[in-house]
Amino acid sequence: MFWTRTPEGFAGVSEVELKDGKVHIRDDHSEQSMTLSASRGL
Amino acid sequence: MLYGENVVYVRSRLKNLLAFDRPICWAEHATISSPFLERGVTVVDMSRNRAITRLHEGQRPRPHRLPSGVEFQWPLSPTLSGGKTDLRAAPKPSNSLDHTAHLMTGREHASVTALHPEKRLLLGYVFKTSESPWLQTLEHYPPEGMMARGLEFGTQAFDLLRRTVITENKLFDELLYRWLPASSEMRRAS
Repeated sequence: MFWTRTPEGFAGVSEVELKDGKVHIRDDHSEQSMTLSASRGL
Repeated sequence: MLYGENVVYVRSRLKNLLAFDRPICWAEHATISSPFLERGVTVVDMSRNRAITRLHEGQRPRPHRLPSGVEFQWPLSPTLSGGKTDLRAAPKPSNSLDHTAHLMTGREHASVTALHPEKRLLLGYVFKTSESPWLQTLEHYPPEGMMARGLEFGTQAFDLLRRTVITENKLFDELLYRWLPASSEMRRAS
């Protein structure tokens, strides 16, 4: 489970990818993305 | 949790102490509710999936908004009134109780998120589809007061009696339960 504040204009989540100890979160609508550390993975 | 990370790692373990195999239905029942869940504002997103509405049966405390047992392409579901509705956000106004199931397989990990764009807060879950092939959402949307939306990922498509689940066996050609072998244990992570 992850939580975070989002940048202004972030409208939804188009894709979440867990890879190399990070969670990559992308919003295609606002063309913004975020990356969170998730060092343990699943 | 690890210092500096906005992540909670959940490790669950289920052990069978019996000398025979037993079928199990196992889910992690994530739920969001008011005030984070706000009509027409908070949006739920999930990985690409194959979706179906739950069959209508028995008495319900609130009317259905969605038809019975209809497959649809997330996030646009047909409605009982004949149109289509975007299930990402709760309707405004609201007065309904509905349940949908989503087959999340076809990728190693799947996700479900809830975003309040005005508060700029995002909550999400990532899980292995080999452990949790199904995601079910329960939309409890009363006309006023507290709403709740279940975001439940696990082995079964809908919360039904185990006898019913095993009898139905599969949906979309995906098993609706798992076997936990005798004297063994099963683990999962999210």
